[in-house]
Amino acid sequence: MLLARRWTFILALKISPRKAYIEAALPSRVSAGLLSSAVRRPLSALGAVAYRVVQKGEAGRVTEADSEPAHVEVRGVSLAFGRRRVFDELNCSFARGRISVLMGGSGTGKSTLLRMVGGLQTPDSGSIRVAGQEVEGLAEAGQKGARLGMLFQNGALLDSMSVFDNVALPLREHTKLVPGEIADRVHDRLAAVGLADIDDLLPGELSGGMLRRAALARAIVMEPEILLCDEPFSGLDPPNVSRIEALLTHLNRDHGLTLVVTSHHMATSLRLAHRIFLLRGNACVEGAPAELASSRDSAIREFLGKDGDEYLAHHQPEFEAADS
Amino acid sequence: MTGGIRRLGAATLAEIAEIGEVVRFGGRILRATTRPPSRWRFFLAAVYDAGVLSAALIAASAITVGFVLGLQLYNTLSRFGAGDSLGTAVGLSLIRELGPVLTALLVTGRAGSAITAEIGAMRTSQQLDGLRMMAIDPIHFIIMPRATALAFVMPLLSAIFVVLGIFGAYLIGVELLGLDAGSYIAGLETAVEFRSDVLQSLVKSLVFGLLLGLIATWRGYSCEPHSAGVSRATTSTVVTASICILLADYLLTALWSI
Repeated sequence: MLLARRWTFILALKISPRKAYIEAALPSRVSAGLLSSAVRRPLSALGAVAYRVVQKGEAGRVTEADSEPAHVEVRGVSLAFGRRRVFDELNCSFARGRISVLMGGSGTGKSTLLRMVGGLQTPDSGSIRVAGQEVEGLAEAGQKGARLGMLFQNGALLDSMSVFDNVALPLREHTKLVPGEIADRVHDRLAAVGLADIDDLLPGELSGGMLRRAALARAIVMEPEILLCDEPFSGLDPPNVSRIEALLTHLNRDHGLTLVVTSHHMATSLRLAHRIFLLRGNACVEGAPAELASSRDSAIREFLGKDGDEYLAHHQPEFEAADS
Repeated sequence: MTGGIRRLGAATLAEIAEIGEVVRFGGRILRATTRPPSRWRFFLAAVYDAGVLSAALIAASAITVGFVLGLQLYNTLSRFGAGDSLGTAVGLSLIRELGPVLTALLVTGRAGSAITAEIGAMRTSQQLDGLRMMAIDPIHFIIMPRATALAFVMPLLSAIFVVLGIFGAYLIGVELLGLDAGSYIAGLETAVEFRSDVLQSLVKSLVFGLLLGLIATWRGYSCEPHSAGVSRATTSTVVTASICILLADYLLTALWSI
């Protein structure tokens, strides 16, 4: 492992020594045994081959993330809206059973990437595969509901239907469950997200947090393998952010769901994510939260702000323990 | 000069492209009508919204138009000593032209614009995307019931309009101006034929309903996903559908006369 890391480090430097956003340094496990903590911290901050720049021509590089099985693979995806090029041969993959958080400034294409993974937006070129199958083929194969669920920023519940009918809708459309079984499943999911006795309410009668949780219940009612969450924390008060965060963590940890989340909510994202994908320009910088938080890249530090420092202050010991 | 021509060309090409998209959209709606499951519940709800809730407006407008027709036509016909022909004139003008056209324009303003706004709001709030993520085709689930409901209610509302218009003109001509009731009804019975008048009226209404259903749902479905986009789409529905209805009226009248 140590050898592989060193090799990756050397390889990274050889392939693109001028890439400003590749930070490479000695793996912290090397430093852990040899150096004092005063020296270890700055060295660790250099990053243990922290980032992979996934860009044209660099997709095949072996990194730690590649060793995990990919559940969603984005390969050579390009997309432009008129003259504005959003992605240029983007490559990245989201690991099975992990929480991947897409971050980046406004207009970098986080939601667009999520929509492409969900099959709501067709790329100009390239392919997106979900569990080895092209995403466009999922609907035709009748597997979309079983494979993918999506939590939209504003819930996207049908506002003319009650909460119960909204959550029951995919079951009525795609299963042969009898009404009693549907009711049981719906109530089970609503209870799981902490909503009970709101069957007859319309989406317009719910608060923002309740709406998001009702939408989450609908997104998971078909028991998908992958849950796409578009800004699940935006516009919510701290208790509701914590509630949604706990629900997503629970879905990932206890049900093994693969989560792909877009978020501007820095502190929550750093806590939630197994890996963070930072979209910048046409590129995607990837790393574990601690790796990104310890980055020396000024743009990344500026983006993460004080949340990155706070995260590092709280998680540095874990980071180092995991490394060793 | 060159720039102007280029812009004109680009605008023309864009319009042609949109017409192509609308035709494809219509084809998708048509295919959706043949695909299970049936959407009876949504269809009936749309019939209620577009039909039942428009009935009062149609009735009030029809009676008023009948009043005006009765008064104007009686005065005009009396100048030529043909006041007794009021029933014939009112019947033919309402059944052949005014009934279908005015009904279609009123339904466009009341129900067509509402359907565009509703679908546009669903698009803006990602409800249509939400359906797609659940592998539910929005054309089948949302669009088709509303478009077919508009086509279904239009002939019925037009029939209501014609009957109440004739009744309104009767009230003015017979009850107010003293025309003989027998000659009013007899003129109506004699002049109106089923094939050339009533059938023409029903066919026109059906075509107007289909046109409105297509335009109203397309405008909502394709609107820009923000509030200004919904507003523009709603206005566009009223303008486009009104012009299309009037053009179609002329074409159908011409074809019927051949």
